Amino acid sequence: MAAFRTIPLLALLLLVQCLYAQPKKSNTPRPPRARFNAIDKLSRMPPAQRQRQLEKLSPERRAQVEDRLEKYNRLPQAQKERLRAQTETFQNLPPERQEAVRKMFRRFNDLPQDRRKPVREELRQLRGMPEAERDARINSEEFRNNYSPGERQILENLTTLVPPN
Amino acid sequence: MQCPIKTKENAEILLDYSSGKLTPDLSAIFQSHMESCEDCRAFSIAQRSAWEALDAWAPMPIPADFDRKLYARIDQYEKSRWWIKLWHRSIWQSGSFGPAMPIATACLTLAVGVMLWLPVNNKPAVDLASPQTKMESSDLEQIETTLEDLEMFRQLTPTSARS
Repeated sequence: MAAFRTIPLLALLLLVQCLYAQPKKSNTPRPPRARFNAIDKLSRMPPAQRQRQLEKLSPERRAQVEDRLEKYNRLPQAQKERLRAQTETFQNLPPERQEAVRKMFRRFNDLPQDRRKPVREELRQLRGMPEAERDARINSEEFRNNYSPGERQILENLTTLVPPN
Repeated sequence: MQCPIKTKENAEILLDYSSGKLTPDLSAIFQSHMESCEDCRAFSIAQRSAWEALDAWAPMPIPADFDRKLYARIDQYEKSRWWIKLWHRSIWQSGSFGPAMPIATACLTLAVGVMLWLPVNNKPAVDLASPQTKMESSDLEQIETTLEDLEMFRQLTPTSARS
């Protein structure tokens, strides 16, 4: 019978061991599909409820999320699906590469308003070109003349780091 | 007289003789039997030794406040919480519950341990549709990042591919 008295003690020791051994709750990234589900749910919420969900963010970040959500929701369904597929592929890349691309995209967004449009158009064209043609274009004199060193870096990095369409 | 040890009859004669309860007539008959019976003689000697030892034993003196302390302990136990009583019964009188109580405790503890051990990712998905549900900061950051990525691809996708 004495053996039975030791069972709860052993179980308690096991529990303590489990508590100590459990990995700390980390900010493990959700898989891309789960993130899109969260975005879909956020999109379908009434504005007041969405406000409550986003109130942890600063006013600027909240406004940016709402703006991007609205732009995304306005897109035709076919384009939405294409963007989702591209984003999912991108989010499966190594985190360092993802972060490098985002950094470049933020630099692109920091360009003056009048420079963003030509750079964006150039990017779209470069991404649609075969590799040899793209290299020739990047090394061309016209390319060097049209864009500043900073812009050229953005164009080159975004063209090579972002997966093709 | 037939030997009570060998015949296994009238065994009470042995005990009664040893404790001095046997009638004088029977005592005399048994004594004469013992003179010729080694077994009964040995049994009688052993019994007498036990009785003498018991007679020589003096009980420990009981403290004057023994009763008071005993009743105080009983009173304290009666007033204690139910789970303390249950614990005492489980620990000191484990026969009253059998192995059920320790096993139930062990199972419960193991179940809690397993639940805590499960990977964090296995927790049910947050139901964002519920008004009571609040998103974690990390969830919000991931949504922000995804919206940023969507915006990036929206801007990078050539017009021809978009149509």
